[in-house]
Amino acid sequence: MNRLKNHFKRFNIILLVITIFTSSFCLTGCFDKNEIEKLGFVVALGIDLDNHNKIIVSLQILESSDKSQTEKDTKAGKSKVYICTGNTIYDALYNLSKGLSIPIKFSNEKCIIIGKKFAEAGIKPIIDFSLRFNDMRPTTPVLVTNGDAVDILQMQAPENPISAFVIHDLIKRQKYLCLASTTTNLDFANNMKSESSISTCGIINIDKENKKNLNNSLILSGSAVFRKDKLIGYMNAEETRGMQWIKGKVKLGSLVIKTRDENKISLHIIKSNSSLKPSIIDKKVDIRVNIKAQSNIQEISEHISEDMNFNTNPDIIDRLSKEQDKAIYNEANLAINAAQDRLSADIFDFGNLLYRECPHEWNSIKGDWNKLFPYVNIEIGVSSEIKQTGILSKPITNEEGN
Amino acid sequence: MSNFIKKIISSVNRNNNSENINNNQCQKKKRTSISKSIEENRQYIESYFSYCFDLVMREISFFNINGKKTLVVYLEGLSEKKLIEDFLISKLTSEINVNNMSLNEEELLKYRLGIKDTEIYEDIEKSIEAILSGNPVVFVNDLEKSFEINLNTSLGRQIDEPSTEVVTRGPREGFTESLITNINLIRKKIKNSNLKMEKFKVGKETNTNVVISYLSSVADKKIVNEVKERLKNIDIESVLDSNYIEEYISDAPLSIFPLVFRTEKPDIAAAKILEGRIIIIVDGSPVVLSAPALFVEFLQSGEDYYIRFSSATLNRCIRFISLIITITLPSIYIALVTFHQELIPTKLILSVISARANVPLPAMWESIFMLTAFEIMREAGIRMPKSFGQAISIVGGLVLGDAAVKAGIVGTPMVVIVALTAITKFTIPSVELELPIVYIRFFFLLLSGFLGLTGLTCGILLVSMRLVSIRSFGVPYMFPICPFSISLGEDEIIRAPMWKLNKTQRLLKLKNNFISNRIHKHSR
Repeated sequence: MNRLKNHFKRFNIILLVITIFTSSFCLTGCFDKNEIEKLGFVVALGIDLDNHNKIIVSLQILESSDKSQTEKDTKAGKSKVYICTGNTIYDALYNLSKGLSIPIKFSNEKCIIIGKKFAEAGIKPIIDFSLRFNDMRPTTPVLVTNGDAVDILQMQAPENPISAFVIHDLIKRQKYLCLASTTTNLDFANNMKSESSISTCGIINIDKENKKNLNNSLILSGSAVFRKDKLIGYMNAEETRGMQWIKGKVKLGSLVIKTRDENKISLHIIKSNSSLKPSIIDKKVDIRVNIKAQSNIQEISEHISEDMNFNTNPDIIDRLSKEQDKAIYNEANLAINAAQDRLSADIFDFGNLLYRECPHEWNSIKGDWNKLFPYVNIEIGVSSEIKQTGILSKPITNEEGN
Repeated sequence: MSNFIKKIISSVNRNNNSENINNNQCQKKKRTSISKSIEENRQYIESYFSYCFDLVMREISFFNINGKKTLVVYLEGLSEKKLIEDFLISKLTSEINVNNMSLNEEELLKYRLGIKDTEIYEDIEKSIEAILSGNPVVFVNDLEKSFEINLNTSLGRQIDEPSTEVVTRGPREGFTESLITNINLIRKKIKNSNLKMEKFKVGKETNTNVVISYLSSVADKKIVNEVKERLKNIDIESVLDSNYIEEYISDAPLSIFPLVFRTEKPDIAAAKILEGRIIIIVDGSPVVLSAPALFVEFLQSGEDYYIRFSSATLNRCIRFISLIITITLPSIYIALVTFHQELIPTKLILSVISARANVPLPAMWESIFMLTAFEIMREAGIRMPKSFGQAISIVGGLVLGDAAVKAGIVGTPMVVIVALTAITKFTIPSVELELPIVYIRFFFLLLSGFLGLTGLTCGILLVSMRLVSIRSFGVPYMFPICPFSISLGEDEIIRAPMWKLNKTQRLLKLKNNFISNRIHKHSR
């Protein structure tokens, strides 16, 4: 009996080995196998609309650098931009495969750039396309450009020929500096479905104004505002930061305040957060925003007549932080003005806040929210403090001048 | 042509001769007692040792008494010639003292030459065994006894540092091929009467001495008995090295993992004894076995106990990390490059595709090719004369690697991967673990080449299931890791300070632990 058992045991092992081997060779295990050099890695995707309402898709694809080139070029890496058109995005990519010999992969994509025309027509297709399958990440940042996305992709910065990498670094920085919104494709999808259905995203442009700079460079600044999926307006950098003050997202940055005698002091923001308190009384929405911030004194410029010795006179710090309160208040006010007067769009996502805090009242005003929003009473209170004054306790000019 | 035929014929003849010898032996084994006549004994031994030119038989007078004769038999070279002359021949031929005349011949010889009772035989087979072990044996006329004179000075090399277990700190002596020397080396470390040495004879043809050694106060009786039983059950013709024994007593003989620990250093052997393990010393082999073995033992070096605990802990951690790297690095790389490119940072992709642009082989075959080439170089390096070693390693490693990259046969990332894999392997102190690692590495490589990370995960599962399921002499192989024990793990994954180790005591004091009833019956 025992021997029979052993016999079966051995048989089982043989069966297992055969199954493993046959399945590893014959079954679909290897179907998504692809050698890395035979894939086109898309690092940036640009979407435009042409005059005949056809979608122009431009792809920035990593390329292996030629061995024949010098070593410096090999290190920098190369990319190539492919352009294709079609009725839909996928159709365009399908058309592209006529000329591109390798399959493309979106997994390492750094950003999606949307041309102005396409943004005005509605960005739903690209959000849908990017989230439908797992090939593209839901964390891909979406940016809008004033011109055509193709130009952004084709631009080569001297320090890094692959513009996607430059944009990626810019976005990373703006996450804390908050001069431009950073919104991913998943955020877009969430915002579209949210109560206020307003979303903002960063604006990327080629720096043309700066003529002294011979090399082209990219600028990420300001925000584009979308209602549902359509572009409705823009905000500049200051307004964007004002918005982020209210959202409590500013983590770094500079702030310039003026002393009584019109001298400028630069502050370095190190921390901020905000708390929002909504109330709906009789269909009248009232929102109290409390912004807290901390900063260090980074620079005291120009001659300062009054005594700026922080050690002997601690009142100065209090006075300066009051100035800081004012500066932050002003910035936040800029954003509120832009949102309520110019765009009449709830960029702060107050709709969601109201839905969470007072759901019953929200239901009654939900339908008219877009009309109501410009008349919402937003009260801003700022309480900020200055943490450090640096290792210079007195301004240098004072000692030298006297 | 005619020469060739002659050769064949002569070889046939030789075969016939050997058959005759065997026949002779069979007939004569029936007689066992020693004859009274020297001449008969001489003939018997001569027939026994036919075709042995190194057999020496000398007829010498017996203390000059009445022309009495003795026969001294020994194998030339096994004991030093000068010793035989000084202690045996010169004494036998010297004049006898009158005072001793009252003694009989046996006592005379016994007292004059200082022979132990156990070395006086009445059995000729035993005397022959004594001759074979290298001692001169004396036969006396009219006496049915033989006397073994213990002059055995075994030939062997000096005690020096074993090249496989090099340490920067700690004792440098290593075992030699001589059993007695090896036992002495251990006795020198543990001066304790509880240190038992039990002798066995294994091997029908070679009659090799095998000694098991353990500390009776610490070692588990069940394991000791199990080891003894397995040794007794060994049915083998010849034993030339301790590996012959190891393969017979191992719990899972077909497993690729080493289930018996080996060392060439007496200090490590002593430590194993003190931990409650059983040491098996085989005559003629400098490699000493210790059982039961745990997986973590193979990642430990004797040096861990000779440097400060903080440094030793760091070393152990590095070894664990290296083990993981050396097993999985190539397969992880293959899985990422062929299946999961999204997991590679984009800038790395850029350099990988640049490097692989002109490589004709798929990544999996590229790595199999490189790793095989490395294994070939390693094996070649062992056989190479030492003076060539460096030159060949430069040619093999640097020139070949560089040329392969330039010729576009392999990509640079692969060279880096293979180099890392190769280097990390050398952090593992035990030679025994070297080849299991290679097996597992290729197994993982194939799995991840076909199935990606899924395959690799399955492979890791399979291997860890296997590791967890085996036992060495009743002790779970992965002991302080798998049946997890923090207090005993203090000496395994990290190395706790000495004073702490002393308190918790070393690992195998498992007497009241889980060993009971779990010892597997030896399958053979």
